[in-house]
Amino acid sequence: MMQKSKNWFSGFLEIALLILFFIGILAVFTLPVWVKWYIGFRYGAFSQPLYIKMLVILYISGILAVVSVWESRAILHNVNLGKPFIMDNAKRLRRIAWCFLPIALTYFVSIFLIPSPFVLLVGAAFAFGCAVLFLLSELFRQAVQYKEENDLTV
Amino acid sequence: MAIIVNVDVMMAKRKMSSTELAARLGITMANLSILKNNKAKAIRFSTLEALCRELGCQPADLLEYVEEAGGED
Repeated sequence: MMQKSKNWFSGFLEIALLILFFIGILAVFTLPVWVKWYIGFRYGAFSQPLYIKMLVILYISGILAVVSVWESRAILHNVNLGKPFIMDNAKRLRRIAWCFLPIALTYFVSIFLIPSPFVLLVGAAFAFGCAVLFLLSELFRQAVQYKEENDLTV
Repeated sequence: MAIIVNVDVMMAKRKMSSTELAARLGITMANLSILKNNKAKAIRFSTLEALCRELGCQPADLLEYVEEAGGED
């Protein structure tokens, strides 16, 4: 039987993710402005090649991160409605994993453009997240199949 | 699904309502509806036994195999 989640934290998290989604959109749209500001702040002088590199990396990861946040919010919304084990959630988890993969690849390639151990670390974190999410989505998919089988056994 | 459950046909023959049959079988109306609408993925032997007992029929009267053109469901 479907039951609405009574956990206040997941309700709060859903709202927080929605706010984060809008902040993410705003951040992506204003990316040229604050990347320019950051380069000036960090290096003292503006550098056009670095600006372009950072903009490309941050646009790719930013847009995909915003999509991931939206999908996470949708999953949490389903959970809060009392429908955690539905195929929609498994598909959304897989979609997030597919978003993480190009982000990880972008950061791995970025090591040649911006040599920094932190860039490698971010890439590794997203690659690990991607693998875990693929695993989770497969787990969810099978759980949904078991549940459907069980629900439709009379 | 290639297996068709003919519960509604047997119910009509025995002039038994869904509510009555569900009560006699000890299952919910929702589950009986799943059976009647051919949405069921599996049926327990205990349910099949109860159905045969209450409707006075054989499993073959309730289940029918129909070959599907589009392959498996």
